[in-house]
Amino acid sequence: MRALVDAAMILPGGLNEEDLFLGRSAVRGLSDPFPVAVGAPVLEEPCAQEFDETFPRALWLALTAVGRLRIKPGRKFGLVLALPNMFSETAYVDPVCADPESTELLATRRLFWGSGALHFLAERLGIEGPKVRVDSACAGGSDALITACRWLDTGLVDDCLVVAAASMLNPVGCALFKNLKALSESDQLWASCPFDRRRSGFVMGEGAAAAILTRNPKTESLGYVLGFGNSMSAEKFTDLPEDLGAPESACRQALGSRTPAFVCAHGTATRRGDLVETRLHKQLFAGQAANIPLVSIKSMIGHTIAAAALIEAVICLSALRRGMAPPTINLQEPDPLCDLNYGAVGAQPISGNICLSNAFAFGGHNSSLCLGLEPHL
Amino acid sequence: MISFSWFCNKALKEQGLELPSKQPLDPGRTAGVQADYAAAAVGELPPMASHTALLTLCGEPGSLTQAFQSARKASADGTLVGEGFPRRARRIHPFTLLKGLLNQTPAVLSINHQIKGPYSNYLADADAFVYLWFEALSLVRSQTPVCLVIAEAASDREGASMFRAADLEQFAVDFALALHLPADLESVPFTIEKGLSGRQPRCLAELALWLYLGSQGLLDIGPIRFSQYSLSWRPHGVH
Repeated sequence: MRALVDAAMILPGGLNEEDLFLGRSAVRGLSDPFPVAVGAPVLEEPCAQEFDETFPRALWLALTAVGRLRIKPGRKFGLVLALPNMFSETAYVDPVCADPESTELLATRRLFWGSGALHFLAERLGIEGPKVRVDSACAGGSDALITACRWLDTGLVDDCLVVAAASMLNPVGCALFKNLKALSESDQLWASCPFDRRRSGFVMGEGAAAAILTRNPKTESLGYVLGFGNSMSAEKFTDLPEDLGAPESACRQALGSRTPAFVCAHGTATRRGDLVETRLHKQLFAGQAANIPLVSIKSMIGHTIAAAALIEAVICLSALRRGMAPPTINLQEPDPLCDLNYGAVGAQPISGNICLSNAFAFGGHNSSLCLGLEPHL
Repeated sequence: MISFSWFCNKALKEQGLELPSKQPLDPGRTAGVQADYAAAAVGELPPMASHTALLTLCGEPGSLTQAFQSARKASADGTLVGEGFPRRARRIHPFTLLKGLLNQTPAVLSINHQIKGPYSNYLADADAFVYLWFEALSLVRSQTPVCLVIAEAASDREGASMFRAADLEQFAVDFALALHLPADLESVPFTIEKGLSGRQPRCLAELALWLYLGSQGLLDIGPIRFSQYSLSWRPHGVH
């Protein structure tokens, strides 16, 4: 059994779980030195005395999400931390660019590289069990949960804290994605518009989520990881492949013979990605495809990179408990080639108590989770 | 039987060892140095079936901040980020993001060697090898072949500074170790069990070096110690 007994998040725009079922947006305007016009920032700020410039913002987000858990992780817990490269944070890149050979400087930035952040978090939480930092770019949150599931399944741990965080909503991070033509070119607050004809890329967000997964739940569970699957596309670095065999395999490993009440799309609002996901949905569910909503939470909070898939897993379980699939906002001018039910009119009732959550990342990582309200479905 | 292969940019001279080495790749490519070494090491292994699982333990990916020097030098006050950055940012090469991805090694290995199976990408910590190894054995038990790779690129100025800051300057090297575990694996040259004995590797490079040398019978490595487990070599080395 893989029961999720506690979860917490720090979302952009000051949003909370409820807001994501009301279709609220975290997207705000940005100005110089940001090279893009819009983003979805976390509005809370760290206490400057405790978290100075030597402390990565992404790690602060992780710590904040963990601090919101009701259950305190135990000493024997495992820890899986999904945290992408933090070199783009201004507090690292600016001084290190000026003096890349300064040992003294890099010693003060120890939490930005290697296993510094992982050991800091484990020590701060008093976790002495197995611990790893993982990264599979935008699929990091989902793959962190998969790693924890594998650890539970093999008996390596009984309980595991899973944390996923990212803060690439900084000038350099945005420039890197913009130069790769992955970000939306729009300056409008509706720019995060998956499956809409006007979409031109994703809107950068930031955030974190933390979840406790256990084999032996002693309290009521939020839900269960019923199945999981991941695969490599082996075709392109930045796009979903033409041949959908690998992503389909990840989805089918996760689903088994189950039919989901809805699917949480990767849904970033890139021109090609949304089309390919629509095709994948039809390939997976054939005649039922139109009746299974395919929704994008990123329409409301932008793309929180490594944190995205764990945030989405938490929201998916909330959706199942509410009997409502979250909406896809900003879908006002539908793309004729995206012709499924994306939840454009708002949160919608669902029947059934399992769902599929997908993440497709740079590098060709396909990661899928089947989540449910009962341990064995 | 497990197959091992190894590449590094210099043969860790203080160890007095001759190891297979290759020249660093040309700058300006999509992939970083770490991924290039890993691809070379996997290329020395038997061909991989497409459903092979890809398990990677990656360290530093190679210098990143040098990619921003052109933009920084265009700034009036010598800082990269600040007023006017949106204009200067155009000087940053579009592939910089890809070279900075901590999952670039599994990405490149998957594309270069057509590996499409399940994956795990652990980062930066020698202790993590144990947990990756347990995943590998679990996959082999379910008849899935495994390609396990440890790789790092830290010989550049920034990498060397990081390793100097951690008192590990001699390990600021570029290297990759690759292992192939076939689905019909019958024996392995070591066992990993609970308990503490032997020497603890200080970093990924030292762990990878010990694993390679031990597997080849080049040096009597003895047990390798992790935070809760120990790796013991079986008698007669490689089976």
